[in-house]
Amino acid sequence: VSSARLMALHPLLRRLWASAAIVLAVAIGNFFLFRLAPGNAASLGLVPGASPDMRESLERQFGLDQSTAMQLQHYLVQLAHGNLGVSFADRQSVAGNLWTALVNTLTMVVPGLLLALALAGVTGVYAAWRRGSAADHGLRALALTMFAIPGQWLGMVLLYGARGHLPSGGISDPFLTGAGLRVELGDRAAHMVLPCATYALIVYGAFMIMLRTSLIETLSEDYILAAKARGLSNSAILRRHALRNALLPLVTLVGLTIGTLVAGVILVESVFSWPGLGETIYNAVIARDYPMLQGAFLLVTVAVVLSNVVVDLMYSYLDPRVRL
Amino acid sequence: MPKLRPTSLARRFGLVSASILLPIPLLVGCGGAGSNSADTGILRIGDASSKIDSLNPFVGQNGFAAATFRIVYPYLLQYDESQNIVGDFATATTTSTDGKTLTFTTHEGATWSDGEPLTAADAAWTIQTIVRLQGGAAAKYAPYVTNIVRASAPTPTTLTVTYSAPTATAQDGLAALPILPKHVWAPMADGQAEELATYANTSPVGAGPFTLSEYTENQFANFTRFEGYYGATPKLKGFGFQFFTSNDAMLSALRSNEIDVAYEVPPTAVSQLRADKSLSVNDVPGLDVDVLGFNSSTFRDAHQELKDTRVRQAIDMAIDKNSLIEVVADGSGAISSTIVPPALERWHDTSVPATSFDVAGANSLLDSLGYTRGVDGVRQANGRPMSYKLLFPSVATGAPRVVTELVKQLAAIGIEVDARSSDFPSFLQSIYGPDNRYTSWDLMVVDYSFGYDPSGYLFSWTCPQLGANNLAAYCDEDFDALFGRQSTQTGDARAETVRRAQAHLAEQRPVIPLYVANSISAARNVGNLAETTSSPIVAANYMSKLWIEQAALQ
Repeated sequence: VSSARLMALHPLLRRLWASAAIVLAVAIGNFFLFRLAPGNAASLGLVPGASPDMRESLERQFGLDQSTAMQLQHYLVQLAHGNLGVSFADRQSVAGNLWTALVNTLTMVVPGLLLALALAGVTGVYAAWRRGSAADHGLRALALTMFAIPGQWLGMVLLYGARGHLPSGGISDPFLTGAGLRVELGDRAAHMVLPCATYALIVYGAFMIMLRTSLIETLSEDYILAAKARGLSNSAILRRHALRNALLPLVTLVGLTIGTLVAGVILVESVFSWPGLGETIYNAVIARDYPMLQGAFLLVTVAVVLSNVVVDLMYSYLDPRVRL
Repeated sequence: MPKLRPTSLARRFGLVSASILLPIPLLVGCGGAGSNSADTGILRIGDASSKIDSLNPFVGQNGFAAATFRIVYPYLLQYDESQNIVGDFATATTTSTDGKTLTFTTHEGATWSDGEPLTAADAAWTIQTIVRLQGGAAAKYAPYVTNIVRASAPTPTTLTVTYSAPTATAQDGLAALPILPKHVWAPMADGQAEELATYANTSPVGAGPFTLSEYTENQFANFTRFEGYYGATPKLKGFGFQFFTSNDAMLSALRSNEIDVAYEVPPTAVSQLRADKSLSVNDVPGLDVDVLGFNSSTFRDAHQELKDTRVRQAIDMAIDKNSLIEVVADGSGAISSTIVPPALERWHDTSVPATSFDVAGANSLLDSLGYTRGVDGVRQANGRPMSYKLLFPSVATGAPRVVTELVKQLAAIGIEVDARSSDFPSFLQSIYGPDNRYTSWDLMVVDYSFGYDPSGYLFSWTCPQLGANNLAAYCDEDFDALFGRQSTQTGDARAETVRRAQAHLAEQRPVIPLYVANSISAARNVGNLAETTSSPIVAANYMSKLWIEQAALQ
């Protein structure tokens, strides 16, 4: 089967093809965007007080002496080979640097996201089921507060509240060496608590409000009334009929949250000195480290595009009427 | 809607939540309270303002990179806490009668951390290499090797450095040069030696009191005592830097015993820290000067009135510097009448009076020059409104509040300021402009600090520094002559020339010193930390081997 026919046959492949085109377009756009900022890595004190000769020499090393078109061609060819290049600043591979930062960010975000979803699930279902009750008002007020609170401020409040009980910053205690695996694992977990909790609370509010609203709407549908008339238990009504439909908007929101992850976590990373993607991007901007910037923004682009594809797939799974 | 009973679904959600939450406290319980310096003998230093920008001594230039080099590498000389130059790898110094040759006796039997012998030949090679590459890979050290003709090591413990003329800053310069292991660095120093500038140096071979044992970029650096160190054995088993991205996290870590010393404490935190009896706060006059600079470039045609010293004087008079210190630095700062900060007592010219805050006087002065206010309250000069573009880097000390205050205060004398902030690299690019002509701005605010010799504060405003350290584009033959003269003098004669140079700048006002920020650190009251971190110049403590040799946790 030719690739053209295969794509015609499979809508998912068509989506992936479109996604690849978007990623390529954004990668090219980013390439030009970073070069609009004044200065480059060779002129920004990489070698303090460097003479013009030395700067030219560095530009040659970094390939910055070539025309922009040549640099773009080189970048795209390397990208096609899966090579993101070498950081100007620390001479390490961009992929390696990004992988470390991504793992650090995911270590905070994934538990935070799961925690937020779990909390939103419990409180959203409870509030929707007890619509109009004091508990509903209270939970809704809490969710709205979390939604409205600036993440950085919330992080600082938690930081001060937990002072002396939980570590203040960093991904681990750098001075805790040779204490044994169990202690070091515990130290890592302790360092995760505040950033994860902050991230969870920041995204929790929107999740809960979305789930509650969606569930209330679903619970007022005729088929719910019909289910009740058939004598189904509350649990069965919620699980089989209401929640599955009510989850659709929440799935979209979670997908968007993952897509815009960097913007969301950068403030949390900043408060807790968490060495994730946000800090990596900030440092790369300051150093005009083009390979790092290109790699980081490519990663973000891929995350946004892929999360959209995954959301569409989940939509299709949760609501069979939706086709890709 | 039916009455709620906990549904099985809600229970399931509860179980999910619990399953996510439960492992964390269990693991946290395993973690205990983290490291404790009393148990480990490791001194923990935190900072939220800077990191090690590079471990390569030809590249790294921020405070913690300098501290790392100072502690890992041998230096010929170093400063003590009284601003005197004393020996480090050199045990004795003699100067020839013509003042052109310095001869050093160095420690005998010293070794590098990889076991190779450390001799005067390493020092000679380092100096020779820096001199040869001062226009290229070693440009960072160019100001410190002025007038050096050659360095040689006639014996393993004798180093001779020859200058083309007597040089006032000779010892200060040599105190700034790390001695590098020739056997490691020589293979990279051939030709233009580009590799010297790009070598990561993640495992430096050193010979100082501590070696770098663990380093994670932007997060932390740990150092272990080097038993082969040629100097006094340090009391600490090790120490480390932890880099925070927020002051709140750093101060919280200090108060909860996660670190022992917090460096570069923000002035707003001083009163809170002082209330904590387990801490000592060291709030002392610093070396970091915030200045307002005027564009003196001959290529800048617009706003010629800003080149008139009387206009600069009026602007100086309109700035309430005491108010700046209160508002911006919570009182932790000092006014400086000259560009050399008062903390450098030996060099600061106390005879130059600080400009008094006098808005009425400033308005009268501008009125007398014929710069009258327009209908919008902004003065007109040479047919154009006195409306100026001010550039400042977002990382400048006290920014952006110091600029906000300036804008308000200058509005009181009919001067409008359009302030624009950017990151430091962009700021520099905008200041220099194409071909280093300085054509796109009128005013700038920036901070700078140098070491204990006044030459840094002076040479930044010399003509050869155009396109480099000279951000105001000020170029004056008389000032350059004064700078050149002091660099070949010694003793009282040099001090007198340095004072004249300061007075000359104070009169011409290419830059107006706004205030000098205090150096503030805080230490836990353990061992002798409180005592040893109470130096008048706190920077000296952290950058010196002397401090790290003395610091103790018991």
